[in-house]
Amino acid sequence: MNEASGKVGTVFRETFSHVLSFYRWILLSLFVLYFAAGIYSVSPNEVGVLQRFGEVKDDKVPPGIHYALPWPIDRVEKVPVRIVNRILIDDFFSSMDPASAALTFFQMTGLASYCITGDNNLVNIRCVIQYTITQPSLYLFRSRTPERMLRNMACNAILRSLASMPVDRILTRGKQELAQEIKARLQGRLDEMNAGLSVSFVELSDIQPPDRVARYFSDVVKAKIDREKTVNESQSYRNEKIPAAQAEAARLLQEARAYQAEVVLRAEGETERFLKILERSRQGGGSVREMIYLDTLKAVGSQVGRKHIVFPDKDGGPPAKLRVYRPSP
Amino acid sequence: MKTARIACGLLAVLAGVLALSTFTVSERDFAVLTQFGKPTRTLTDAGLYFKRPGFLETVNRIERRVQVFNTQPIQLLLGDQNPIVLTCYVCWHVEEPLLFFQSLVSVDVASQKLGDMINSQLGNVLGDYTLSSLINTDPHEVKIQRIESLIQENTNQRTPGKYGIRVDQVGIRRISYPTIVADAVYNRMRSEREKEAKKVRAEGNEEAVKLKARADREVTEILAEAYKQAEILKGEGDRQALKIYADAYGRDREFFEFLKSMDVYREVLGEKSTLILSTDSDLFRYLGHPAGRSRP
Repeated sequence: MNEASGKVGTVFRETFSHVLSFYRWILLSLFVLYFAAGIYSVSPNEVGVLQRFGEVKDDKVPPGIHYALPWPIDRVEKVPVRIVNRILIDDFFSSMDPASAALTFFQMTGLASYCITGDNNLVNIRCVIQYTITQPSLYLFRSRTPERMLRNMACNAILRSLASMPVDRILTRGKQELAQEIKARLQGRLDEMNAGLSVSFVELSDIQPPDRVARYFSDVVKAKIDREKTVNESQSYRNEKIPAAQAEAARLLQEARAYQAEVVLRAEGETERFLKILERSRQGGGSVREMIYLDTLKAVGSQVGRKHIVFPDKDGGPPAKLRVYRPSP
Repeated sequence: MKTARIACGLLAVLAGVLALSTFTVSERDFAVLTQFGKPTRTLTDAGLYFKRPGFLETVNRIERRVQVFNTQPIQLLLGDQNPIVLTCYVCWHVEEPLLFFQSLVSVDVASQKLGDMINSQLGNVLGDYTLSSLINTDPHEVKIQRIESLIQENTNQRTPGKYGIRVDQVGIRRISYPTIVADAVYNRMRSEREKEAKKVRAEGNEEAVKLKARADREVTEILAEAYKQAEILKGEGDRQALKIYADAYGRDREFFEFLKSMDVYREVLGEKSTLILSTDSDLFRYLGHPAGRSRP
């Protein structure tokens, strides 16, 4: 009985140790698997934050393959630090888009959405804020809803920036300045809360007067274009008139020069002729003079339409029928 | 073998007890431990902790991170009787977990109470300010930041010892006008723009007229100057010509007058002229007397 039981015992023990040695492998491999589960990787645009029993051990685990003790000892959270996040702030933009903050506000209060400028004008503004996570541990443990916090602070920054600027500057040349100011104010608020976020860019995608008054604003723009046009027209009037006047002036001067040359040359020619004739007449005595006289009378006589030849009285006076009035000296 | 098995069993039991009597506190939370509702310990540092196993001691986790909520829009009167509708955001966190745990219990309740406090503060504080201290083209006159920090301070003065919370930041996130006021603002904007457009157009016309007048003046000046120069040139020509004539004709004035007269006759007497000649004249000297009459 004892022997038998001893035998059975031996067999059982052998089987048991057999089984045990089999399970040992399974246990061992489970054990290995458990610890292997601690291998993790951080992708290039992330940073890992390693926590042991909830306590931060390392908040700057660089990209690559790493090892941490498995659950429940260590825990790794990966934060995408090199990704630029975008958030659209449309709280001040009237829109019927069901997802927009403006519609929510309208449903709550019945009021339209806008932002008030420094000179008490209303504008609709919509902007995109780009931000990155700069301090992963702050991002994880400082704020419960970082994005919501950022959105609220962005609204505040827009409101305060617009509250100190006149509408004309906001709508025209001040956009750059406005974006810079919003960025600075937002960053200030974020830093005050140690949010671990950094604003990289504020893009004013839409900024315009509300629909109700938009056309009066665009009329001012149109008026400015009109002014430009009118001024340009009168400038082109000037550009047309002045060269014409200069051309006319040049013509006058040229004519005058021509006149000058003409009279001088004429004078020279005539005097030359006169001197020649004079020279001739001095050489030829009275006959030259006679010749000229007769030539002239011939020419005159042939071109005159009517000719009367009268015989004077014996005493040599003028004919009785003909009276000659002489202008009194 | 038996000892091994016993060891295994003991180990399992130990692990179970350990699992039931340890807990971790993360960086996100505070923990308040209670025994049947009665607080025993408050843990503010992250890490691994022991407690009495199971239901004997309960771990209550309380958010330690900053939380944000928006207040209900509230209409109030400014010091200059201008009505506005304000919405704020509030950043707050739990400073004394035990106090918070005992007094408010949930985050929602806390937000609501804080919101009410802040809205009543808004009414108090903004009564001392005017619209021009909210919006002003002079950045130094805009007192929004001052108002916000006043509200934050006032609220924080009222919370200690009561709720265990602290307000980190209050910010106005929206200022609106009630509909009637907004309509008036729209009308004013409209008339301002209309005036501006008129002014711009008038300026354009004025400048255009000025430019045209100046162009006309310049044209006149250019032409007058040219006329002057031309007359001077002509005069110079005349002077030279006269001098030439005078020089030449001075040599025999009588002969010159004779020649000139001859020229004048040729030119003056045309087709319509009537020439009356006396037979006495030199021309007809031979008409009556072939031998010729003696010259007069």
